[in-house]
Amino acid sequence: MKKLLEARVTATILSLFALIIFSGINAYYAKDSIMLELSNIFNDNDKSLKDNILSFENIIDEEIFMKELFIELYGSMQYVLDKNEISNFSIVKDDMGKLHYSYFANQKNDVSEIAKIAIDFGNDIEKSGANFVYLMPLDKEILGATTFSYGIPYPFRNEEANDFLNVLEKNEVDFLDFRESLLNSGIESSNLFYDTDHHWKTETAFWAFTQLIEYVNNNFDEEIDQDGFYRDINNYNQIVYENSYLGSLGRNVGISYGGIDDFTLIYPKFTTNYDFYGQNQIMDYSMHGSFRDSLLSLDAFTSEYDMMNPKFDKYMSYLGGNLALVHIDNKLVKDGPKVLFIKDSLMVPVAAFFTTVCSKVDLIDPRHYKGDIRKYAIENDYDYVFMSFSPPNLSSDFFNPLK
Amino acid sequence: MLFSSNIFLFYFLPTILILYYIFIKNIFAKNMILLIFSLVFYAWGEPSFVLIMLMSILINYILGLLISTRKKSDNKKFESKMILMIMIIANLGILFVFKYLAFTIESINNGFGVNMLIPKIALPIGISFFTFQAMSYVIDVYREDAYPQKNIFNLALYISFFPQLIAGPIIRYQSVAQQILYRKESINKFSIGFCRFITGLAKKIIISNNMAIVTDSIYSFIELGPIPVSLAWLGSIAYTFQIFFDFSAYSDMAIGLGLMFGFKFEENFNFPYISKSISEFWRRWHISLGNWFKSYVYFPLGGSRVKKKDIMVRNLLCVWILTGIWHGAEWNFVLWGFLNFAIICLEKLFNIDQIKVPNYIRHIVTMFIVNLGWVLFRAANLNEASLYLTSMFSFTGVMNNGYTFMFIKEYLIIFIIAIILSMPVVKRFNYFISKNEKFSSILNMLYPIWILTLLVICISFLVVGSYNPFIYFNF
Repeated sequence: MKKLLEARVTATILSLFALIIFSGINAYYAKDSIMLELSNIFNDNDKSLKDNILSFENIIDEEIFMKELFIELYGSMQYVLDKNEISNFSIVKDDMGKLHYSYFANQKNDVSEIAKIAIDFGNDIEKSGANFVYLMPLDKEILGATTFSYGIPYPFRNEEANDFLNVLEKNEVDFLDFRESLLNSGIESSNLFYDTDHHWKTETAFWAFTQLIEYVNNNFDEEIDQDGFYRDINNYNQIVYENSYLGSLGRNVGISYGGIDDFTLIYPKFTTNYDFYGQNQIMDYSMHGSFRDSLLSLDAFTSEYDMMNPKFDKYMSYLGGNLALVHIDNKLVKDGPKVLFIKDSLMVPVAAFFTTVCSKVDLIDPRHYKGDIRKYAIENDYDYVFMSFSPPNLSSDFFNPLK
Repeated sequence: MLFSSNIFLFYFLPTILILYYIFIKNIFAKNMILLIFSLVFYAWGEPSFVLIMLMSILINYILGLLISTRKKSDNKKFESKMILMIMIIANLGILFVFKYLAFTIESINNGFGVNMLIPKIALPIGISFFTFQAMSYVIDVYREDAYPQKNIFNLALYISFFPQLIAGPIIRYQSVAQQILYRKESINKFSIGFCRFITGLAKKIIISNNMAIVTDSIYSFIELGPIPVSLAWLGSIAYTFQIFFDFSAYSDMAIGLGLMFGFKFEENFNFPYISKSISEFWRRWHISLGNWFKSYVYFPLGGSRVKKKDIMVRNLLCVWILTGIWHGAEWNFVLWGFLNFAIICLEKLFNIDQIKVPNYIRHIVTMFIVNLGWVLFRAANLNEASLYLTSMFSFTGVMNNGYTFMFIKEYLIIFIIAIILSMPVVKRFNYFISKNEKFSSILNMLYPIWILTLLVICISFLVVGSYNPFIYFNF
């Protein structure tokens, strides 16, 4: 008994010392954020004390010293336990090792209401003289290719997307379903999406861009990129950053569980010249110059960037990521179409590539844009208004702002 | 504030420990530090609720003093009895308003077809715990089992002491009255407490929270309709483990923290899932609540030592209906209390301990009843409980689906650990090892690494924000 007691004393000294030292370093590490939050609390009288406590605790939870190390440890344990779900089924792993956002669903959701919003919106756009097209991106769960271990929840996203497009079809709304031409893409189904992110790869986005040009040419008698120059990948730089990318899913589970991705940065070799204007909730900014200089932010590609920091997400390097409003003028293609994308994040790199053949491209993210989107779309004299929300985003969060 | 949170582990705990041990020689300063931090701890979740607790402290402090002054003179015994009645009405009145008023009006509306307005009153966390502790103080003073507290801060510390404030154990005043003023800290006590705290934290984070994922997922399915038999059973078993490892973990952490500050609290759990009868189960489960009801309800009513068995049955019925409703303001809790009453009554009336039945059969039957009881306990209401129980026993319906297999596959190791740790395997292993000096010294050498590893694992789960439910909102 005496020896057990001695062991407990040693355990306490060791663990408590570690805890107190870590807590001290952690407090020092988080001090700036804590002080900022405290000054917000004391200056902001609108929030209740309870809400202030909650936001303060959020800062404490976010600002943890060596957080990535603990995430790795957590991921390693899940890997050792051979888990295919993580974080209460919010993330699941498929048989190819790709990570997916997930949830339990016993049946598909009814999407008729949001389809009606899209139809009404499209009708108003058509009345204004612009062409309206719904673009349905791929879901990471590729039908016929993605498989999960037995019993892993299946959220019916592709089925919901099918239902949504069926309603559009019945109401004679134009749409392009990227999932249909997937097999002809020439890209292996295992290479369409990042393992650690819910977004498609830039190569897939480039393929989607070529499909979009083809669709517009075939359906609206356009003659965009007749010689195929802009759609030729050989006219673009493709810089591969090996083992350098952790997407939003990977950042939650660590490399040991989710692996790590290569990232290919694609941008034109040919001469380009743009005026870029971006606006988010707190600021706006402009950039000018080539595709690389104005449409890309390269912070995430510098050697000292932090892979675990969402600010340095490489996928978001195109067009500033999910800005509320983006306005791009192509100074070298004066006679190209004027286009508006109302979109989620999957369409961002596609829109970036599409700028090469347009005179003007605008993007609105309904989650962040506070103005009247319908009015904006009607008043700005577009040739095309593309609406695009990927299958997981067929929800009121994205469609209600379009009412 | 939760024990299993970053703010508690990295900010609250180190700060209070450092401050407390700076003032180790000064009992007033130590108690004030514990009191202030306890109030902050309680206010963290919902600041306004701290006022209710302070009101409860003030009322019981005054009533305790009034009783003690009247107890000293023989001709004022009636007055002291009246004050005791006032205290019971006041405490239960507060509890009724915040916990049971909406439930009562809703039940009247449903039962009599009327449409009275149901007030929306938020339930202060831990109100049942601190109200019972406050009542314990005045009753102990009335019975002269303890001296009245002249210093309101000391009484406030007893009622609001953060380790046991929101999930117990319920400390009877007489058991800690001396410790508030005359406790002694020591390195051994501190070490036992710290290791107990880390063990409790690991039980909560690694076992209970994982079991909660299985339970909560399956119970969310039942909201949409019947579920396969195998899934229903799996969910009920997962909850059986979840509630044990959650509740006992909170008690471990509370007892551990108490020891770190020099307090010694009573044990609250003693491997309840090895019980061979429901009576035995309740001697091993939430012991402090059982003792409270025994001391302040069951024995005053006459207990089991009454001449007529019907009086004993009445006493048991009182205690178990109160136990049921104490856990939550819903009819399923009343039914759960009644189920326990019925089984315990049968066990007492038929003297079940004397009947010759193999122990393993007793154990299986007991766990079967306990498991069914937890279904009533976990369900949101009677309808859900009935739907869930129907799913468990609808052997003509769907027996199985992929979810059952998947949950077992994903959580098999946690289930195995939970089964092992539900039994005194580690205790017996330690006892066996302690006889072998060589093994014993190896294990003692590894013990500090083990505790540190548990701490780091817990931190990693907390840092990633893994599932971390708090299941005592109903209490």
